[in-house]
Amino acid sequence: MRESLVGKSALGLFIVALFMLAIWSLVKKGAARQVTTMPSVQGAANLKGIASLDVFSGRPNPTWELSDTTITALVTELDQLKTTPSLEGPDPDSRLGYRGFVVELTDQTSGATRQVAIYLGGIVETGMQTTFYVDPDRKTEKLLLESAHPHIDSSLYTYVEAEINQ
Amino acid sequence: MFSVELDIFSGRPNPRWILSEAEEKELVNRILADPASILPDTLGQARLGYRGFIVRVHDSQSATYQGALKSGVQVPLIFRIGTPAQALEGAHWLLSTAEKSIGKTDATALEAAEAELARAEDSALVQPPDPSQPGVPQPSTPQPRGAGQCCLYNYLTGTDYGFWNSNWTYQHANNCYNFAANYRVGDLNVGFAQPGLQGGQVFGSLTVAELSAACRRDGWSDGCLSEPTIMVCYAIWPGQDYHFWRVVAISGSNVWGNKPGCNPAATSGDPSNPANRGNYTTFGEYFYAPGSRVVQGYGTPPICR
Repeated sequence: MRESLVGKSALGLFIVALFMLAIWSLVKKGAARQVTTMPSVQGAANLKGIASLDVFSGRPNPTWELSDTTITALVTELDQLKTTPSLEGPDPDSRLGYRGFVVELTDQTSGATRQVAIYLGGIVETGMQTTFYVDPDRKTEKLLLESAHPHIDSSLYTYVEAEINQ
Repeated sequence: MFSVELDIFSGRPNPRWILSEAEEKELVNRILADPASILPDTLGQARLGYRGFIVRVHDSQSATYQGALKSGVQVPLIFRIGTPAQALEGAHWLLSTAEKSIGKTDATALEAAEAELARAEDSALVQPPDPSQPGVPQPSTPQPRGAGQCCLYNYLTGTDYGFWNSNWTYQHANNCYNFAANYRVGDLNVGFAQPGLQGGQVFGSLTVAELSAACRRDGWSDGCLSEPTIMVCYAIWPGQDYHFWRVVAISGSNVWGNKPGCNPAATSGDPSNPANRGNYTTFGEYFYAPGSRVVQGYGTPPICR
């Protein structure tokens, strides 16, 4: 009888331990989702990215998947840029023609998604929080234009290149 | 006796049925609650597909009809109600009165009308007209900037761009053609209307001939109509894209409004001036429609700013 009670207590403790382990790992996973900043270069390898060139009005904008190389380069650039309290640079608003690039990055482990909108050096990153960057040399836009090159015709490429370099 | 005709076909005879006495009274009550819902029976005839209901009063001495007249509302002996541009609740009810009468013989017509009403009600709304312009045609002398025929009866919505920009889905599901057609959808899966798709064949190449033909397939008219009319025009970015504009009313002035893709709707410069068209250097044509035009899309692109 006594051995049976001891056995049941041990089993009970084991079950409780398993339960607490499960709770702890859920909490840890939830904390991992609360990413508040752009992943560092080390985290870039875990990202998938889709980019869109916001340029059309009636037809859908060109959209393509980013390579790992481009994602890493993009995150590297963003890591080095200065953040600003608000958007610096022109707002494309509702102009006709080139209105910048929009990139959606997804963390393949956590599923967290962030969106980066770039136009003539002004960058807005949205996700768990909103961050503004300034890119005076427009390196991020030039990088994304190169990644767009296989997906758009030469005329559109030339036009966007001219807009970025204005 | 009141008869109702579902005005939907172009070649075949439209379905018709007789209302019961109780349904007559219900119809009269709805009309008395909203007298502006009565429209001339000849309105909207240029449109393809669902055009509303035509109601005929066969016995002008009936107690129901006389009761309506005594209330002070001028109810004609024949009138139209439930057009695509109007409020749709009465249209649904009228359609329900058809089911027991013609539900088996004209199920296709009923289904088509239901589908169009459901689409109009659930997702696609028109921007309501300027409160100063009631539903019946009113003569006006608008002076839109630029060329294009200035219609005697203009459906100039008291435009609040918030109708298009107020939430993320509305802004991202509707492109320039949705805005021009005054046909807002709230479903990304059917967003980003393309000329010709509603009419059965989307435009082919980016030429004036192709786009204009596509617009005509969608039911746009080439001139002003005998009812409140919206006026739109388009231009082409050669080899790349097209863009539409529509005349709207802002603070009492008539201006050209537009909505570039997923971006917010806003006032634009006069599109007949090349300086206001950017890369859209090839000007297309002007088109007209009663209040709004049903248009269709393949769906919104996955990423919009």
